[in-house]
Amino acid sequence: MSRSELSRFLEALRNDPRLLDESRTHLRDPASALRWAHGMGYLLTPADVQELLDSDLELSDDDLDQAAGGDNWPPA
Amino acid sequence: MALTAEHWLEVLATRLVEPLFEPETVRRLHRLAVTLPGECQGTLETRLAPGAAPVDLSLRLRAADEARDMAVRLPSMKGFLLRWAEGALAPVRSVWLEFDLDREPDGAGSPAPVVCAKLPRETDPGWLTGTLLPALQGRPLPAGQRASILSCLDALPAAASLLYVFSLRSRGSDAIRLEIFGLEPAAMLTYLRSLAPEMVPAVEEVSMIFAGVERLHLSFDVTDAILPRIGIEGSFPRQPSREPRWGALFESLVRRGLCSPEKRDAALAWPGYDTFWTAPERWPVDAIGPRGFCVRALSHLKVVCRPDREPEAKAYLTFGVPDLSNEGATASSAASRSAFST
Repeated sequence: MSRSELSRFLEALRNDPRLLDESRTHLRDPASALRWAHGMGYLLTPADVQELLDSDLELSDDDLDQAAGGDNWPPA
Repeated sequence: MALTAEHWLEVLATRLVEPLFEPETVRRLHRLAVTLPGECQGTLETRLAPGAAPVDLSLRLRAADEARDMAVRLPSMKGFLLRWAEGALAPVRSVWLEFDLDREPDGAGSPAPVVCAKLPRETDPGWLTGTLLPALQGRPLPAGQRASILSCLDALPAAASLLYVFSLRSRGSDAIRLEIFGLEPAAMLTYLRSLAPEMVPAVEEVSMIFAGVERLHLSFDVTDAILPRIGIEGSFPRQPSREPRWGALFESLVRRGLCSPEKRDAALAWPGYDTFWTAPERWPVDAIGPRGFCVRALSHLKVVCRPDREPEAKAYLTFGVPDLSNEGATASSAASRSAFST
């Protein structure tokens, strides 16, 4: 049930840039995000909100450098 | 829905454009990528000379389950991949599969790839020529080829080591490609003079392009002799946004007519990453939900020399899930929350 609700919510985010921006603002406060999503008819669970939070991450410059270096650089 | 390499190409769609990627090239990449797993890092091999050119696709396998998965997808490679997955070729640290896309693949499924094995520094030459290379080639090495390879290894200076070996059978060649790490440009020429002096004039000028470049590799193909194709490649530990020498290296290629300014700019602009939040309409939510990154990085530049042709320059652009192999710098540990950042 929840998985399909999250999928439905993600689909809505994909199709509406304004909703996407709004959701990022609400995700600063998970409880608020939950209420906001319920208010729009998306019955997300706290775990769904956590999954959304966990997906909204940034990589550091060091991560990007490492991605180019391949498997353990320099070669041992 | 299973994650495939094509999902990542879809995320990259706005970047797979000219001048590096012609529409026909992108079509071939998609047709291949749909048959390949999405969990492995991919690399796009782009030609930098002015004008349209094919782009090849490579995938890196690092784990037994990835090798077993590919063994099912690539019956021609099944024997080698399963042996590696079972630990029978344990010194091999990772395997690259390079799919040539200079022509339309024959039939359905994945075409046979060039296979490349990454080696530890102290690889035993006897094991290499007696076990690993026969496994890669699907037959024992001819005595002349074995002797040639051992001579090449014997002539290596102490600072250098064999890093990769390639089987080129998918290109219709019995040659083995050796890729050497740890030679500066002058030392490359000295080494080549001892092995293939006739190649030195063709390589001399190109080697100077790589003066001051880090992580240099020298590659050449061996049958019972050294074949007339030499590759030199190099890179820097940091990406172009933090390493201006990338720009200088590209500029050297542009000055020599080996790279168009437009392709230089496109390659330098490649690095970065996407998430569901930056590319929601293209993100593979059906396969992985909103999680993950699709990282783009500039891996290295290579110039290939042949006596009868102009040198050819290439840029290697990686994509896909971040490399998690280095301790202490994993994406999951180093990533920070953007929802809370300003």
